[in-house]
Amino acid sequence: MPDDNTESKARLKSGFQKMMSKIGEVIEDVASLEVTTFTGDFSFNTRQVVQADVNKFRINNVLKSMSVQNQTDIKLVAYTNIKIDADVSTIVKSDLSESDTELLKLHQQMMESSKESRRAVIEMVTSMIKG
Amino acid sequence: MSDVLEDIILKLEEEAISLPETKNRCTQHLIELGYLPLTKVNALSEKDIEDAKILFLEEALVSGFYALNTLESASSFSEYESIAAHLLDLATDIDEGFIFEKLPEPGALNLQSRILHYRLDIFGLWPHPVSKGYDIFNSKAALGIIGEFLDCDLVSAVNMMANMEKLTRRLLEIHPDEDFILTIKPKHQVERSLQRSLNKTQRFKRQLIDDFGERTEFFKYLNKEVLKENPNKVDFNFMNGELRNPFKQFVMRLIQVHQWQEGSYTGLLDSDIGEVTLRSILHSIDFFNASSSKNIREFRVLTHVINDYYLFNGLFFLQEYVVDNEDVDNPEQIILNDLLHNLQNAGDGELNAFELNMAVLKTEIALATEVQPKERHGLLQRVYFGFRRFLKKVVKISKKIFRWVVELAEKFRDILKKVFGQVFEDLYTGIKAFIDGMKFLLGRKATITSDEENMIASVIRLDGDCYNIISGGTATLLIEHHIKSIQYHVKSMHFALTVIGGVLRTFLNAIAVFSWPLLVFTIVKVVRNIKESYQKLNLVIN
Repeated sequence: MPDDNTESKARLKSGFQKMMSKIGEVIEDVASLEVTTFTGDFSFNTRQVVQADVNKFRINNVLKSMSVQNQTDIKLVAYTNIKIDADVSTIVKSDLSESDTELLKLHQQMMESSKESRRAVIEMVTSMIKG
Repeated sequence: MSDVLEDIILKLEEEAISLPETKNRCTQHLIELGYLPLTKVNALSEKDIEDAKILFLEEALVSGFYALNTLESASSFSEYESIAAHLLDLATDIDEGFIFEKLPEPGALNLQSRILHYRLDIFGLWPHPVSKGYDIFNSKAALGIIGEFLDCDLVSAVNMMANMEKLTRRLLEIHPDEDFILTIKPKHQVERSLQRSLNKTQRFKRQLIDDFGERTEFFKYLNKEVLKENPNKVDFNFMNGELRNPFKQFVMRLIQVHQWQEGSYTGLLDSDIGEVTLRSILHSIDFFNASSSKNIREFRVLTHVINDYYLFNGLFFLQEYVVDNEDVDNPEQIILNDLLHNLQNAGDGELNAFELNMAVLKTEIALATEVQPKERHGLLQRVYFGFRRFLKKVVKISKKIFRWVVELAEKFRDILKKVFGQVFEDLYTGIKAFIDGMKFLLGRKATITSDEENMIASVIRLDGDCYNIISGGTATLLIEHHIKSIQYHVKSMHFALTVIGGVLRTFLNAIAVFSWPLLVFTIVKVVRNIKESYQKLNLVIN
């Protein structure tokens, strides 16, 4: 059965307004792009990773919000910050082992994917503005 | 997450689950092209289907039929719809099917030979398995029959079988009118009430005289010895001779194929013209009247003569109904625009009725597509999945579609199911992309790759920030696999965000009238637009 139309329309309207607001927040945060790669030996519920609202490069917050269980040794492999003026800062773990080098490749690839993802978001917003 | 957004996602997920799947479509096409044997249809395993799909894809890649842009377009939406289903649709298309430059080499068993035999099979000219290799005796002999009907060489015959409109025009151009006046004798008794309603011999006769006079011996004889006031004196020998005429049998099959393409004939493609075909012809007349200012009566096309004998004016049917001179660009967009316009202006009562009846249609379409392909009397029970030519016809009645759904018009139910069958497919693609896009907007879209000991999880946020978390070892293979997944994910995300952007743009313009059906059909429209843009872009690049 279709929902009551008036209520259904109101909820749709409200939902879409929230989406617009979410996109608005992003526009405020396009000045930089961050890619962070951690490694560790831990077990966790993947759903927690997905749902965790990881925000910015604050490792304690990340760990807290992920509720990592039995966490013993989590390490930063690399952190990259790309500013809108093209300044790029990268922090890489010292004394990289051979296996860490593989992770660095992943990190570099993720930078490319993040840029592409960002571009898709900007294109979406631009197309909406253009109408 | 906010409740309203959660509600929208949940409702969209419910909508997607209720939509017809493409799984059986793939299976049907694989059988049609002989990748799966018809004899095994009723006992197919998942592995059989997967193996057949792989063989098809292997043959498709080397066939030369699929342009780079087709493969690229398909892979752009690959997370949301089946590439195999899309490529199989193209291989089995008989509206704008693949063009052959030459016939297959003798003995060849490949996509070319399969498509050629599939087309012959559709027209009832291939009694062998479609998977039989091309041979210079059987294949050429069957092609020769249609080549003779069309008065063309064999390569042209293969190609015309993949363009129903061109083939029909060609037949009408080169054959005399009388070749399209057909005698029908159903194997099974037609329902009495239907037969009675078609007892219009004298009116049919008068119409025939108006149209053709007595310009040939055939029409003179027909009027004098068949369409008699006293039906007991009908010349049965003449009518039985007509039934055995190979060209007329072919024309009858052609009409059955036309009806099958449009969803108004749901029986077997068997050249057996029975009650289902008679009824589908009558529905076609209703549709023709609805889409034009004309008021064609049944006796203009069809009459019961005596016993189980009927006469059918196939010429009128093919000229007036099948061949469409209008070259309509983008029929899908016209149909969707009209529907969206009606939805924007609908009252609450109409919207309720529309939603309720759409649910009914959706269930009926899903039930039809969920039925696995079946073998019956040595033939495949199948549906036609092409829409292009059909949609050109539907454009003429696109402003009426909304009203027909609101009223659930019985006469046009099959037409509606055919129209929405395609709409639902794009809707499925669109909803999945839309949900993914929303999850991405809300930071819930993660890519996870794992094996028994290791796991890599990556979250790319809406603002582009990215987090990778690696647990366990750092198996090189797993990292490579993860990178590929991410690349695939980002490509799909681009599509998902384009869908979201398109829908939100419409939402900004129609905020006062936004409703669930409007959202649903806006998603479809946006998906259609994006697909066309991809295709145009790829055409330019290539």
